[in-house]
Amino acid sequence: MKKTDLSRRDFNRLSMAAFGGVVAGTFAGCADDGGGAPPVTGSTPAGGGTEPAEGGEAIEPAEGGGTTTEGGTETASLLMGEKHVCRGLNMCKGAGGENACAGAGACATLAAHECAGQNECKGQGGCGATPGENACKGMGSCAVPLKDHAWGKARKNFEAAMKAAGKEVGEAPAAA
Amino acid sequence: MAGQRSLTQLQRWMQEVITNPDGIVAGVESSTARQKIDIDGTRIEEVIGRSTRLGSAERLAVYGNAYFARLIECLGDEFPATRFALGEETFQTFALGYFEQSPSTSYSLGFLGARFPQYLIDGRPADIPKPGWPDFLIDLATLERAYAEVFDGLGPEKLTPLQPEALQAIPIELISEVRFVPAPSLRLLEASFAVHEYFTAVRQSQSPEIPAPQETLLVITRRDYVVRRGIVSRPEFELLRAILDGNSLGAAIEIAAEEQPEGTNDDFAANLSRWFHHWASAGWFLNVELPNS
Repeated sequence: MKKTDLSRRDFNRLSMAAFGGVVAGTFAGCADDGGGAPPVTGSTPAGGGTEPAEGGEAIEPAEGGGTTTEGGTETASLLMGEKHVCRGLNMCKGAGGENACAGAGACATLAAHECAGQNECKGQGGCGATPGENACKGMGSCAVPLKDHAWGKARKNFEAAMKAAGKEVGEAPAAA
Repeated sequence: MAGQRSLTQLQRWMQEVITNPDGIVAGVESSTARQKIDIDGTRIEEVIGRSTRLGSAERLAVYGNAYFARLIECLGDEFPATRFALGEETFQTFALGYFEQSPSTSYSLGFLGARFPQYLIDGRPADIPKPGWPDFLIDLATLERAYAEVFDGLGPEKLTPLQPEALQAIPIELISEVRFVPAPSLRLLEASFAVHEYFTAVRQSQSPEIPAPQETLLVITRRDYVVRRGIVSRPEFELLRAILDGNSLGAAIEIAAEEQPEGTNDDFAANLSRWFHHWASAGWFLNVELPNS
């Protein structure tokens, strides 16, 4: 509908409906958590067609992520469900709180990082147990590839993937 | 000679040299490195001696390669689904191009990927119709960066959500003038692909295919230190966006009403009540403000 379709009466009714909802929501939030901690977080289903249930059921993630169901609609918790992640690079690990990283703000620093994998440069600060001789040379993470045309490489990859999937190359896939 | 140089001078020179994305010789000959130690690429041995097996530039390259390898690894940790979609080698190529355009300048890796989505947007091939696979990559990287920022940023855990008393203080004739103060972790994301599902599939160690285009409207927030997202309808999305943009309740409703089909005022009113109830109970608002308050 257009703005002009809203009469003053409609507009007042809609504003009151929204405000009434938010008032009720704040009371519900207080009831949910005893008045102190923040209440349940989630989102309504597309179209807002169903009332979301209060409180979500957390499902333990398989690989660090998490899944929460609210009102029968999946609203996955997505990132870093495990504690103390900070991309594995944190200096703030053990800093306390429910999660030593979240909200700490950019807590990952290079200083605490170690060489990846099992190569011999772990803990050496650079690469090479012997100065001038790179123990991890050629072992993957220490070898930096030559710069190339990134989008060109990507195009080849995606063209191959599209072809494998039977989709036409160079055109947007059909809408679902 | 090296003995005449201070350790600080050598360290700063070496930092300039090994962090140059164009390589050691280019780093030595860069103006920033020459401000520290003024030599060209043929005189590196005057600063760093040879070993029995490697020349001076090669010895420095060990550290230069390690520096970029670490950064690529860190960027890949922040963008795991984008890395999966591109493949390891292509992702590394993108990462190097990104570091060349946007060198890491912070002590913290939390900022490393901040401009990566924009880097992808800037380089998008113009000859591919939208929405195409480049847009899928851009949407995916944008989503992953949003997750990282919501995770790292200020969340609602230590903040007090909107309280009933604050609402009760609003005169009824001023209700439409109210502005809601959103929680700092509340984010909206509009994508052309269901990249959230792709991300989840990668997190679950599946091997998802590139999905077909699908308008995807996401709300991203955080509760109990866990990043969460939800799909919302277009009117709900526009209403939230208008609120996040600082519009009053009345103005936000007018904006969202334009997304409603004709003759659905009653449904819209019911949805408004439900949406605001949910948002308030979920702690998405911290306070309300009135003009001149």
